[in-house]
Amino acid sequence: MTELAVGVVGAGWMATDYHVPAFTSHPRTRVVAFAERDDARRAAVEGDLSVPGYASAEAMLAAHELDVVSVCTPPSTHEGIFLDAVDAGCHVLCEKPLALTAESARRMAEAADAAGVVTQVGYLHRYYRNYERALEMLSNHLLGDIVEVTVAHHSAPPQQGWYYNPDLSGGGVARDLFPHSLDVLFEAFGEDADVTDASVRHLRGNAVEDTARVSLEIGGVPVNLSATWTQTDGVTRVLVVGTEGWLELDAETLQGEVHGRPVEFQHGDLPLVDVGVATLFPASDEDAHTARIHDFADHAAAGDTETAAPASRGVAVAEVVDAVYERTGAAWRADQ
Amino acid sequence: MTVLVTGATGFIGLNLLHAMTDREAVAMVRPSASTARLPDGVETVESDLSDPDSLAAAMEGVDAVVHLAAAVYAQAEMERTNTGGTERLVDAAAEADVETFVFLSTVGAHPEVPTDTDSPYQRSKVAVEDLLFGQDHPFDVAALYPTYIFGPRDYRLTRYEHVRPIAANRVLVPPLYTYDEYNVVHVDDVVGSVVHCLDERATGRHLITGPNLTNRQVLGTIARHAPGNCRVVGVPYGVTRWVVKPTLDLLHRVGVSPVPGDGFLERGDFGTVREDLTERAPVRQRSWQSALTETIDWYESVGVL
Repeated sequence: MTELAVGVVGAGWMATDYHVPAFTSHPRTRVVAFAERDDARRAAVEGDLSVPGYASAEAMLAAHELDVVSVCTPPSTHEGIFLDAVDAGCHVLCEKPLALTAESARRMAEAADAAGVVTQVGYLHRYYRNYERALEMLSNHLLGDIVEVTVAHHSAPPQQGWYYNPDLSGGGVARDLFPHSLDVLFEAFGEDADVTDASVRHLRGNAVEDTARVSLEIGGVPVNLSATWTQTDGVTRVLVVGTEGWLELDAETLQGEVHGRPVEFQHGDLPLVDVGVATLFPASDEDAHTARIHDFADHAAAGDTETAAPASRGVAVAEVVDAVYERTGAAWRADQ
Repeated sequence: MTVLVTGATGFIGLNLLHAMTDREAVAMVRPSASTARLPDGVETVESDLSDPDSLAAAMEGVDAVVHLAAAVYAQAEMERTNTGGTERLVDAAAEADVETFVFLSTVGAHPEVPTDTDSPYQRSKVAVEDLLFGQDHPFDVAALYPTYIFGPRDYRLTRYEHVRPIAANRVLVPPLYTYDEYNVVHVDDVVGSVVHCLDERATGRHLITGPNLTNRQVLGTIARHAPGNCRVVGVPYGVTRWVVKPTLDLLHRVGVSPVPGDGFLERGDFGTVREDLTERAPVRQRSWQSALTETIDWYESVGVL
């Protein structure tokens, strides 16, 4: 069985902590090269990984016959790297957000379609086992008809400066965090989305918003989605209410009721012991990042373009985020 | 033969319609009901057991009626729906040219089985016995009396309480469960009996019973098949009575346990029948074990186990 040669673009923490280890541990892929613009960072990572580093994705693509390119750079660089990789016939795993705008995302999806390569956008949440369970219950209509979904996703303000420069990031917290939730919602209810209301706030005087809220209908289901960059380790809650039950989940705990009968999981697992007055869940070794990268690697190795979130999903996600900025009249959009 | 099925979106209705996809079945649904779980392409007609006009309209072109609809858990609706609704449906069927009427009852409503008079559900089913079998009808009448049904498509998770405590514990010993007895049948036996009554024009009353089972047999089978490798450890009733209950009572008195020990002395009965009435059905039966394991498989497939 041949191994696919992977080139990783960008050598930040996403690349070194997740992409490189995951492609290394997958039986069908191995990392053969990486690209990093920063000289000091490139030298350090080259030493750690013992694979050659290049100053640009172009140079890496020119020097190696790659099968897979994974993109871990700021959003403004995604389209160029993605199109070059597709042009070279590579399968592409691209971190979210896929692109600065839906228009840009559309160009990427069309190029990938034409080339017939396997693509996936780096949405994380659906790879948590609780989310997998919730999606399973929803696709089997266990809650009856869905009446309403509420999602709150709050995370610490990012450290890197590019997040606050809309030319590099494509926006603020809406562009950064909405994609994870929208991917899950599209998976559950289809990609037919209609934004009915949106608002943003600038809490710290940055060029981009640090709170965002959107109301939309997805496949006819009313959804309220909010996200903030605030001082927190990160809290994400999803509440789904149906005519016959409800579910509330985050990555750790999934609780709900179906016709009044309680269901409860932690990290997708049932308890080891549940005696009513006390519940003990098994220790979890859940690693959603590795799960998503391995899932992409499986599809790339099989040449299966029907990944969990191909570039076309990135287009649908970007359209909602664009609609949020359109409604809220984001000042920086005039410059683009 | 066009068959109108009431209760089409319920546990037995869904299993019946999935077994009848090559037949002309019409699912009778309430206007508010979700039809997402029905098999693709099944014809539906909106109607309500409380509305005689809607029932008359639903009967158009119907040759047979399978009446599964009933309030099973909502006590307030039992008399109105299970008794009154059945009367209205029988009237509507008599007005139309219906040839066969198949009614789903419950084991406790069978004349040879003692009725639990504390159960409003059983009373509501007994109340239509005379309507069905004490009067003349222009159609054949068959009634089915199943015991405790297990099987796939239990969307209301009505049997989840028997499975989850086992899947969610590595060792199951009292006081985690009380002493219960069961008589389990596969939902396919019920579906097969309905189809049998339609095809063979079988009339009259039909019990659908399995063997009477102990707690240990049922829980042990679930434990062998459910995720989690649970071991069921049998504890004699005497231990529960003289050790577990007093211990729980004590823990309750000092504020550790939220409940006293009385609950552990309750003996549950899920459909057991007199020995000479066991393992009866108008069709060849599936095993009670398969009824349990296929329920578990289905729970796993939809994400709740």
